[in-house]
Amino acid sequence: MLDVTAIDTFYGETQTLFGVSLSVQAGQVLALLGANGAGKTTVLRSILGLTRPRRGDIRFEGRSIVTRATHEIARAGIGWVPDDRRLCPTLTVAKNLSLGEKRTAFRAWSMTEVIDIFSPLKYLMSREAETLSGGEMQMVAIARALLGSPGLMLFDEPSQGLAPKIVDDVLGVIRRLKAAGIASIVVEQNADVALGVADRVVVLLHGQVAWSGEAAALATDAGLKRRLLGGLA
Amino acid sequence: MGTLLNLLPHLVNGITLGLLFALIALGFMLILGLMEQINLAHGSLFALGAYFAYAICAPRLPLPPDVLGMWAAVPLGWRFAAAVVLAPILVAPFGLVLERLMRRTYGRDPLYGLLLTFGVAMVLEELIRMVWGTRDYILPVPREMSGGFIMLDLIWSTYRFWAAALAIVAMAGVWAIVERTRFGAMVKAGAHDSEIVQALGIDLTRLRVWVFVLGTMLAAFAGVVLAPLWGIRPHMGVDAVVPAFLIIVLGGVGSFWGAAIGGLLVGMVVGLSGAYASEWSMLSMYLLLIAVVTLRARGLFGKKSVLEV
Repeated sequence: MLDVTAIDTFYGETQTLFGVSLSVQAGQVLALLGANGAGKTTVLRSILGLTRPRRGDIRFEGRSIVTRATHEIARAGIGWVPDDRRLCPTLTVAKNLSLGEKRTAFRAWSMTEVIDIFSPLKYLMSREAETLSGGEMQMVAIARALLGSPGLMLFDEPSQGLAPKIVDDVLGVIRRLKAAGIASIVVEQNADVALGVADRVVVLLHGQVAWSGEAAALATDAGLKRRLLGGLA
Repeated sequence: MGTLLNLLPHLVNGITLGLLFALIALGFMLILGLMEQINLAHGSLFALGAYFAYAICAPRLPLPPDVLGMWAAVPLGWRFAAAVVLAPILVAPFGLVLERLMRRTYGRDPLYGLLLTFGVAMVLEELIRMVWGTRDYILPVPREMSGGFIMLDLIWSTYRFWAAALAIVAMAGVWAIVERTRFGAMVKAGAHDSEIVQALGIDLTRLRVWVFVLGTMLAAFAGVVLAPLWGIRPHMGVDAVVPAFLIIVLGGVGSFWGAAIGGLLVGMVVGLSGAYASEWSMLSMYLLLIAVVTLRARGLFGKKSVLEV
């Protein structure tokens, strides 16, 4: 579904990604792990066309998206849940959600279905986004992405700043999306959180792929885990 | 008491001016919010609105003589109504071209936008001088809307009430668009965070074009309605962009009610100073700008100021 091939991405003159390749199959969850500054968020920004790779290719559903405008990439069916949620603070939850609504080639999600997954949304609709708690904001951010009918969801640090109970809820949602055939890339610093839902894992180190393989292989091999992720796991 | 009562017509004058200033400021603010560039040519679009209205009403249209004769035979009321509707539409393409020119400044130092739009303002003002000359024009107002009436032993100008009513209708329209439509939500969200709206699948380039067209048409509309009060002259654009800027500084960026209240405040200052010394009414606006920027650059509501964008 998504194939990233040898991308080099820069911020100004500073290179952050060095020949990063990874791929995600339909309905699969890929955990993208690594230390702070390893380039995890930059991979997501490269896929979305927000920070364009200078070299390399990104294909989604067989078509190159590396030169496409960000809104076209989104319309192709890639949803984003940014680490700081990025809701519009002065708009109500209902309006924030409506901004995400769109049709793609993938399964469409109606507001009713989304509220079915995130039942507390019902009571938050008329609240302004800036009055929400961190967990509620995360819920709105995921719901907003889901209303855009994605085939692939990009989660950036979904556990960041959330209570353990809410992190479990978020992981539960990622599993439900997977069951519904939606693929995900989950960027995490907290490796155990991500390993709980991932099929495959890519570990980044200083902007390069240090390891990639089955999540189970990493989860069961304590030595490998310590070597790759050090204090993160 | 008598003197206070005498001030009432000037108060109405101030409110009318304030509402029209607010309209100019709202377009200016929408553009500033979404493009993060100050459009100094906004006043020139306002001036073009007034000149086009004159061409339609007077009528001085570039049409064959017999067609022009037929148009001139149409009652002035209809011609004025046509000007209110058509002039903003005719000015819109100028806004489109300006937006196209400004694209290279998006995401860059605001100084680029300031220089570019300052240049465009000069070009438009000179174009106006070339086409219409340097003389002042008066936009003819239909008899039903002009003249005055006596109430409370005071003389009131009828057209000022019409102008205020037209401005209120347009303000209500802007409010409905910004607060009640998905387009308005897109504009607000885009002004807050241009990356996320694109990542949600919204075409920011197209959104910016529409916002620019809306802002242009609001300025041109204000130009038409204000023309009978201010007269029409090449420099009028600058006289309009100053209050707009002042209102945004006072009311803060991104606040509809901030612009409305700021507009009324500036309008009152201009209107009331005009009551005592008419030659001071324009100058008072500039003095207020200096005072506000020096003493209260964060605006009345303490929000992020235009000066910090």
